Amino acid sequence: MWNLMDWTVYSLYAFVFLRSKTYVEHVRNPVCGGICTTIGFLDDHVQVEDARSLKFSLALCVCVQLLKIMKISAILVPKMGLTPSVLKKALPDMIFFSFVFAVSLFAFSNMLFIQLGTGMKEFSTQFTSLITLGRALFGDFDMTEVISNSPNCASSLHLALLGRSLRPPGPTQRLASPPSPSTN
Amino acid sequence: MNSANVFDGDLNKFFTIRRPADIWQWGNAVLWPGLLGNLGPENSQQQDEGGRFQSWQPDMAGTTNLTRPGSPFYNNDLLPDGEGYLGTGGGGTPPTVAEVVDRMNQFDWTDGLRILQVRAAPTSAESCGSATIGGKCYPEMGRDGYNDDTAPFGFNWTHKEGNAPLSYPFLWHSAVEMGSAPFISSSAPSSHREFSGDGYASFVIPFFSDEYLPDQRGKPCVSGRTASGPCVRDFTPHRIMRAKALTRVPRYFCVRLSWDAEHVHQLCDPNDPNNNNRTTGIVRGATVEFWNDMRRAQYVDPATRMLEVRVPLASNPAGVRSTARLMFEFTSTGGVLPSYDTMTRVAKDSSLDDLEFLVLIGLAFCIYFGAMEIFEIISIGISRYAAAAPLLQAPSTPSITLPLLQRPALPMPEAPPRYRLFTATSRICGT
Repeated sequence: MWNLMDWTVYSLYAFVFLRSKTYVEHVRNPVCGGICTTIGFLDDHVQVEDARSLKFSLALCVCVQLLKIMKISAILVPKMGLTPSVLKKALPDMIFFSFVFAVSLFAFSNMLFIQLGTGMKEFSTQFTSLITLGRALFGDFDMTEVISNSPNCASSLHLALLGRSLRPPGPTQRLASPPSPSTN
Repeated sequence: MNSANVFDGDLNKFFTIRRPADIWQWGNAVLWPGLLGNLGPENSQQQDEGGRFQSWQPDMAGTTNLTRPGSPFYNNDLLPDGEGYLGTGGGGTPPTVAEVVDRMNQFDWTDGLRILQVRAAPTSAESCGSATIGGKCYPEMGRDGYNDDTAPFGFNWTHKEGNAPLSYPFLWHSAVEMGSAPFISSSAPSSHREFSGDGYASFVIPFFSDEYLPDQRGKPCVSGRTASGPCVRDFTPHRIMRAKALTRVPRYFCVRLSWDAEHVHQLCDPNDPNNNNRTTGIVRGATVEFWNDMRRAQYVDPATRMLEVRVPLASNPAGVRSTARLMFEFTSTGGVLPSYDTMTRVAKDSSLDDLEFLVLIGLAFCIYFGAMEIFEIISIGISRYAAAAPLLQAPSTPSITLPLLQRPALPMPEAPPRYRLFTATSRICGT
């Protein structure tokens, strides 16, 4: 798993590097379109998209890299390896549980979409119904504010919170079945 | 501030806009005061009666009439040093151009502001798949029969008799022509729809000039191109943009207004020689009237499906730029769904240099640690690498500095029976 994270970081960083070059190039040499030449308004959507993409990939890269502190902390103090080892132990169960949970979430969001979609904008589409149900279940954080400030952030944050909420309690499992050194 | 300030007596804000009329009121009470010094209009909520600036002169030759009988022009762009609430209750001092420059440096929108509209083309009730009164239908975006409208539109409010068409209507332009994004996505959680980047664009571009540019209307002159007739003087040679060195002194505060992306109305504040060359407020007056002229031209009607106000902003001392998008989605049932989206980024040259340098360092580290991983794969084989314990891995984090703390993950030999309890205990301790 840690190896996979290493390579994920390398891949993400390659993307960050390339995107940063594009961003700097576009900021320093903006392209003036037709309206820019005549009316004088320079649409900066290219720089905006570059910056948004750069920030998103950099944020993911930093997040994964910092998560690897768990690996180092487990080396220094073995007790700190509890969380990753529990997650690894529970991975198959969590995958199946997530699938069943996603189906039930989808089913209830569908139900609410059909029943409330005509009256409440929060349930006006299947997707928004899913988001609203997710907010209700995993904490009513201000999704609107998050999306307004970074649309890309919303999905990753939501997934992160989902993952956090689905995380099972670990110490009992770990004590019952101590992991071998190779699973640490 | 454009999303947080209230715009009416019911304390409605941007997010509680629910009908087209609210949008115009929000513009008068929040948007334009917010952009123009974050100061509310003085004495009255808006300073607009129409017909004073008339950016849409039917013959494009009209002049601004500031001294209309019975309705003298009132400077509404004042510093908050007057009386009353927020110092805008009367008696405020008009800013000098230098003070407007300082204000703009804090909150710089001299790159301009774009208002873009996407409209539904009228279709038959049959195409719409629904029964309608009169047989015409404006479908919901993306639903049966929906197509973007490309026809010119607008209501001639100065010649209402006979429903005369607008002399210079709002015109459709493709995203490619405008150099804008091909798609515009909504930030409203209850929508998340993508609209076309094509549409009807209007512009408000404030700027500073080193020379007084006359009040003109018409097609803009473009440097290097020969105009077929009279055109509005090109502002590029006189427009003072952000720069590190002072090459020209900003002497006049001006604005360029375009409602159809083809014609412009350009005017500069002449400054008042009787008041220490302070500004007269006509830039604000023209801008507010332009916004309200759009209202009078029925810019928003049942065919409107999306309205976006896009403002590239900069805080010059901090070297930070951001682009704010304020979007209104209009449903086929007449509702308005507001949402906004901002994207902030650095613009300082030194920050960009730092970025270029630091990503190179990061790349070097990535290559180094990636190479170490590859050497390890070669040395231990891919299958063992894939199953390797983390303590055996070539670390790509500070653990490289702690080799002595790494314990070998060698297979633990089976302990003799009498030591098994001890081994189990040590394992538990190890956890």
